[in-house]
Amino acid sequence: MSGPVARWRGRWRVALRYGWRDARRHRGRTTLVAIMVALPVAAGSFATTALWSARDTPETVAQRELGPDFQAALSVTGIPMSQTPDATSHGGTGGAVIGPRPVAAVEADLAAELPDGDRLVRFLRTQDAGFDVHAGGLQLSTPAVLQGDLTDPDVRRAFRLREGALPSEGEVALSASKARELDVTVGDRVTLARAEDDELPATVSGLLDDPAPQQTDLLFPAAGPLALPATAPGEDGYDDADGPLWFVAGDVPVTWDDVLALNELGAVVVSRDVLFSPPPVEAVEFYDGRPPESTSDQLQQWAPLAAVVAVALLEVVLLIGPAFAVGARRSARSLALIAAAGGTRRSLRAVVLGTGVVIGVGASAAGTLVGVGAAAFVVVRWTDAALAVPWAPITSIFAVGVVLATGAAWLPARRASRADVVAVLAGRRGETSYRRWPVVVGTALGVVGFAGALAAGLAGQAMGVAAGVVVGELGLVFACGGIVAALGRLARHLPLTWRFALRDAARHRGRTAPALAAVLVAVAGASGGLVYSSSQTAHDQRSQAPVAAPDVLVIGAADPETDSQLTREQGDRVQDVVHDVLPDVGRLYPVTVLRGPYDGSTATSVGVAASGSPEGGYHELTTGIVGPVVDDGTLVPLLGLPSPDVAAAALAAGRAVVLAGTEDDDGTAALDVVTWDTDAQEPTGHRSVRVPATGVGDPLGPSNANFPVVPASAAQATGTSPALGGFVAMPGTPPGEAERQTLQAALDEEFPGTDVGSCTVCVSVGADPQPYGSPQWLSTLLILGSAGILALAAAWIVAALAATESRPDLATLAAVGAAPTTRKRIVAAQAGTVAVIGSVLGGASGVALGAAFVLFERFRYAEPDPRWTVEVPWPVLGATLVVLPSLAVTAAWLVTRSRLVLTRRLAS
Amino acid sequence: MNAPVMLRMTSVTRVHGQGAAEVHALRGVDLEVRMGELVAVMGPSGSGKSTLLNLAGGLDTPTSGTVTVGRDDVGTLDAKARARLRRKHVGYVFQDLNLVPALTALENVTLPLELDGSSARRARAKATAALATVGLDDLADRFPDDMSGGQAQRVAIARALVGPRRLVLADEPTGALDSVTGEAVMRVLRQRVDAGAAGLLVTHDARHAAWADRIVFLRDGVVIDSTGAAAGPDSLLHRAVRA
Repeated sequence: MSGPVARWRGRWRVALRYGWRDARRHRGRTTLVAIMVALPVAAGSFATTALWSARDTPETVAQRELGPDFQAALSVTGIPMSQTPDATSHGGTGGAVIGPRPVAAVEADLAAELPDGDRLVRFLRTQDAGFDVHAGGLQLSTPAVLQGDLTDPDVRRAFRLREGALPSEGEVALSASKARELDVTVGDRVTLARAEDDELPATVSGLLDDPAPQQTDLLFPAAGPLALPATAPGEDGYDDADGPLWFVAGDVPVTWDDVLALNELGAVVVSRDVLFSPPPVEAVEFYDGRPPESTSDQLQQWAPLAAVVAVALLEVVLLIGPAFAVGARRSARSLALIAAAGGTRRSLRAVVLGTGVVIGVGASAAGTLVGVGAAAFVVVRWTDAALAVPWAPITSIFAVGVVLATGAAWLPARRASRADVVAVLAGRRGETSYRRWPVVVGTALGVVGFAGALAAGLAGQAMGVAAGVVVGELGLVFACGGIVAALGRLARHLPLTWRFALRDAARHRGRTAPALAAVLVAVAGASGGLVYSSSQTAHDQRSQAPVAAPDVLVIGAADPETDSQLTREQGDRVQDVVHDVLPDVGRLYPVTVLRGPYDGSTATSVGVAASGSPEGGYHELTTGIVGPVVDDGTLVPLLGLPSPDVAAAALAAGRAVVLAGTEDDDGTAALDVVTWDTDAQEPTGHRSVRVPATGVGDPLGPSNANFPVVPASAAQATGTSPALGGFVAMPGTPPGEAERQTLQAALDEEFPGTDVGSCTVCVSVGADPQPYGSPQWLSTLLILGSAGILALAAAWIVAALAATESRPDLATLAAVGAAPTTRKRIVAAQAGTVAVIGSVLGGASGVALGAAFVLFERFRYAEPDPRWTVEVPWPVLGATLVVLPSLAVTAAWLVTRSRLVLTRRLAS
Repeated sequence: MNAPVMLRMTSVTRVHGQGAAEVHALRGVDLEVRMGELVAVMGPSGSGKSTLLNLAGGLDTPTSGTVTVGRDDVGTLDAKARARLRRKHVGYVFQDLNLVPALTALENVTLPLELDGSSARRARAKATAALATVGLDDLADRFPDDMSGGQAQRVAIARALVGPRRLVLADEPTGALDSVTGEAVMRVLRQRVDAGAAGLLVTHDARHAAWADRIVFLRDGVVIDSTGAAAGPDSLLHRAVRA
């Protein structure tokens, strides 16, 4: 019987058999395609496996927080709590404060809420107290420390040792990973230091298996360095990172209801039972008013990345498509024979697709193995996480690889199935005429897609931008054949080689269009990336506020306890320190700032009333002297104000200098004088003073940390008094980072009492606004480099295919007397044709693509961010459009042999 | 001859192109091929011989007239039905490059059966039997590249007549072979026809046409003569030239 299912089975049996043999017969082509399919599959499998392994599971969280046996871990705050089931987030419920209370009382209350049969095991812990461990020259800062009764059998079971023993008095156990970092092992001595004069030596008794409960780095016995506080929580009332911690030992699970009861006592609970059997979302009070991230939000967040991945996968399909096209072309006679033996169009499609399926399955399997294997190696070798292979996503990625290869074979398969069988059997090319609808549909999709992406960008809709970009690119891909055909009609005015190349490209659109589309998509991605990168750089620069002109040394008071000002005596000490450390610093200019009377609890701030303006709304925090600065124009060159001449003249004329756009049309600016209660952090008074003002710079930024700079007259008008805010200097030699750090260390020593990492008198060096992250030239190089490689690969593919397929035509040219180099010129022109058309169209569409993403950034939040503007790097883009085709032509010229292989012409 | 007619062409015309490029490949051709009969078609290049074969196998459709294979009117069938016709009833043998290089001899012969939905085992059994009839069952696992031209043509004949297929259309099947091998291939073809198949053979070579029961002469798309078994190659040539 030969029903449809049986025929389908037979068709695919033949197709897969043919595909397998075809893949083996053409190993070079198969390898090329397989690599291009396997690479994204391997990358995806690697990333997914690594991320999955790093992701928390109930098992990993339970092991990390509770070890193998404890039922729960409790820490206490001073207020009733609500928490997420895994206790990663928690907060007060607004109930009455219930602490601090004596630890024993707290412990008794907590124990009373435990299930019958369970008991509390008390530990002391610290993580934020600045405990450092020194061993040799190495230091481990703020490790997680636990201290408790290690003779308890439950405790001994919980802390598993990789080596050695649990510590007794004068000893410490280290986690194996931290011991490796400190390069110590059992029996070595380490020094525990809280402060310079509070050091404690200890011997390493053992190495704990990672992760130990509570991710403990250091484990001490009960007679350790931590002292039991009198109360729980501590004096600050809310700090649950230091102080007592209780494990729940026993056989009875701590349920969600138990957790809720313990929350009422101010406890935050990690429960093994709750981790494995979390309550429904509606039973978690913590989520009230904090709804979990909606699907829509997640889509908005991931849509741009999804669009980029989709376009990248499209690029892969386009790059390997021509390989299948040429495979199908070379198999034309085999396909015609299959048709003669009774194969339908479906049969012929299946035969070409079969090669794609075979290569796709093989390459995806290899890519999956490599990706998962590499991730397993990395996870096991370099992390403490347990390897977790997410088979469902991995299977999906495998399927994507198969779809990539099969999708790339689809158009060649479709085209091959429509070939004129009689013509092919007679030894002629069997290509059928090209249809008009793809170019019409493609053009429409392109216009709709890019217009939609721009519109979605204006609306701040990430999904719309992503969908528009993908649809627009797909439209251009569809239209490529028609575009080549249209350009082919213009060939008559070109020289022979270019005329030949363009007409050949137009005649063999099945081969040309995918490669052209690959160049187009690559260049579109590159130019889109360049537009976005340039716009982001401009945005980053506008977001900043230089503290001074480039290379100017700035020493500013930054201690809020003193209202960020220096007394005269402190100023003298600063000058002494600076001259000691940097003898060649030159003159130190004192910088006067406006401050109100400061009594330790009241401060006065003065700023431009700039509600809604860029200065008030957007600029990010910076270091330097805390303004407003009072100046008569003398310091303008050092302060790095925009338009220094205008600013200096304005100050000399008694006008305040503000960022352009923050002054009013009548040439004045409103200075807001706000009095603050520094204890309550609340304003206690406010008045506005209008002063003559001149705006300088770009309203969008960059601003300047010293704005507003006001003359003495304006300072008097505010009713505040000038104070010393710091110093600026222009050393003969620009201060480097090492000198800055040395000076900062000296000033920290002179003005101690600050937290680690902060300063009361801070040193900074003026610099022009810089982009965040990697420098722009690097991102530009990466973008252009990757796009260039892809585009050149596509151009090379089409040139190679054209060189192979044009042999009869080239033989004819040779027969009529064409020079041997004609072949090289024609192949180079064929590569150039694809590169030129692809670059121009890709460049243009890429600008639209980049603009859509930039507009999205500008309008993504309720308040548009005007610092995001579409910046098109025309010189770089123009150079790309010239260099890329030139490279393609040169490469094709260099790799093509001028000698022509003799061609056998088949009789018709 | 009272055997049933396997192929009947009635007033068949085939016109390629249109306007100035119009070419009349066949003009009102009438032809019958019965089961157990081998008919040779001779004529100069461009006379329409290949077009005749393409129409007979449903690779092409007539501009006018009817082509009937068994009970099926080829002109009224759509592409799928014509493909089914080739799977079930018609086999082709071309001048050379008859076999799919990526498939073994056996797989080439199973091709129409598998495409028609036969199970792999049943298709292999029938194909092995078909190869045995042309004396090549021991080369079943060889790829075409590892076979001689004559062996490949015999495999093609086996494929043309595998399973229920009873009409073999041979287009210069010996054109790429030396005379000895060509004779061997013609012998196989004759044997298969004698075993009950119908054959339509296009050839330039009078010696090979002599294997046929009947010879049809074509010129400019018109049947100009038809004769029974030839007296010899020379007489056939003279007759064609005189016509």
